[in-house]
Amino acid sequence: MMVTIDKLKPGMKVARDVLNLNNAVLLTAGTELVPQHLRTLKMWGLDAIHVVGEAGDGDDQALTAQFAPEILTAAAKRVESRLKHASLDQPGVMMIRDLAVRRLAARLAQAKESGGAVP
Amino acid sequence: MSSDLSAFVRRAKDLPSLPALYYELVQAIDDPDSSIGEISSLISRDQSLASRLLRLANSALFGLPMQIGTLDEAVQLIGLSEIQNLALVTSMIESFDQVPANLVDVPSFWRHSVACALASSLLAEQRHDPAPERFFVGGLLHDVGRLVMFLNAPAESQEILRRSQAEAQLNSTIETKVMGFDHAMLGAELIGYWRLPYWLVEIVRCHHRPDRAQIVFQDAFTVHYADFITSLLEFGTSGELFVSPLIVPDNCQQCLLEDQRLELFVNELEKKCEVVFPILVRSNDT
Repeated sequence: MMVTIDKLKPGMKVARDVLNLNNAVLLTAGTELVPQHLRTLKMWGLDAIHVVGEAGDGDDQALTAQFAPEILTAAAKRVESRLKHASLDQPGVMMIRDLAVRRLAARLAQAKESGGAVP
Repeated sequence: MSSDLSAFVRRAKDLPSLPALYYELVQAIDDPDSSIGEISSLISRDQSLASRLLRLANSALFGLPMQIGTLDEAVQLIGLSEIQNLALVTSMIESFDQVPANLVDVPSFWRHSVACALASSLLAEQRHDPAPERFFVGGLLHDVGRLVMFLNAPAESQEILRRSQAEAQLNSTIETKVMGFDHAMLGAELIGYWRLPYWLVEIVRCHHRPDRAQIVFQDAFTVHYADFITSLLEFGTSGELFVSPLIVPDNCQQCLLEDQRLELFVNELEKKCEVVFPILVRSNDT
């Protein structure tokens, strides 16, 4: 499952190789995380990585843990309405959709906290 | 269809031109004999370009420990092709400052264009293009046809925006119905009129249909992909309610960013935008 960096715990196991933009391997699949890794992952500017965990809707679980359901629903609805004319089967689209939902949810949550409008 | 387009361009009263300084600068940059001093003295004729250049040189983008105080230093630091890009941005933003604000949120439009420009060069860098910074221009200009349409056909533009919303259609679809051509074709026409290189004409014409590019198909895809990512992630907005479909021609599959690389790419892009937006795009209305 995909877990955001701030929710990672020492002892979790990396499920897929963690790469940087130049395709260099930062952490290999199977590595067990130690506190030092968590600091380093933050420094590399990563938001989330794949760790070994429940199969299936793992990504959704990580998201549900992070955001209130009404915020996630609102974010998904807005992103999906903007994708009305795009085909979700096209490789690459779902990943950008997921990232857009995650980022929008973060902005909505932040706006709600500060009582302001969505930036 | 193309006769509608050429008639529109012939009749257009407000066909912005690039300032003479831009062409002089390009010429000086292309001339191996010109010196840094000659180039910075050209730049110094445009106050807003000169001050943006200095702000950029002193920004977090370069992260220098000391202050860059002179244009000569800034020119040396930033590099000639980046300066050409910067000159184009400042010229463009000024050329189109008459676009009616009721048709489009102009600063937000430029944020989208600049984000797409930065994303295009970053993508080109990823696939080891020898001169990734040239993609900045393609990304910056991809939607310029929209602005030309807003300026020269405000009533039709209003109608296009209204119908796009009412019928839940892409702007391009309605533009073709109302005008006989869309903003991509109009933008390509303007790029040609500005005597910019042909590959830019093709990139702009094919930014929603990279599969129709004939010569620079991978370049056209780069800008198309950058446009898709920045539109869906809402880095500024072109005014489109919907994101145009992502089209990946067979020979461009390897350009797609997978998993972590997409995320790193977006984080990197966001960092650049945070630095560059306040310098390039008017900040009083952000």
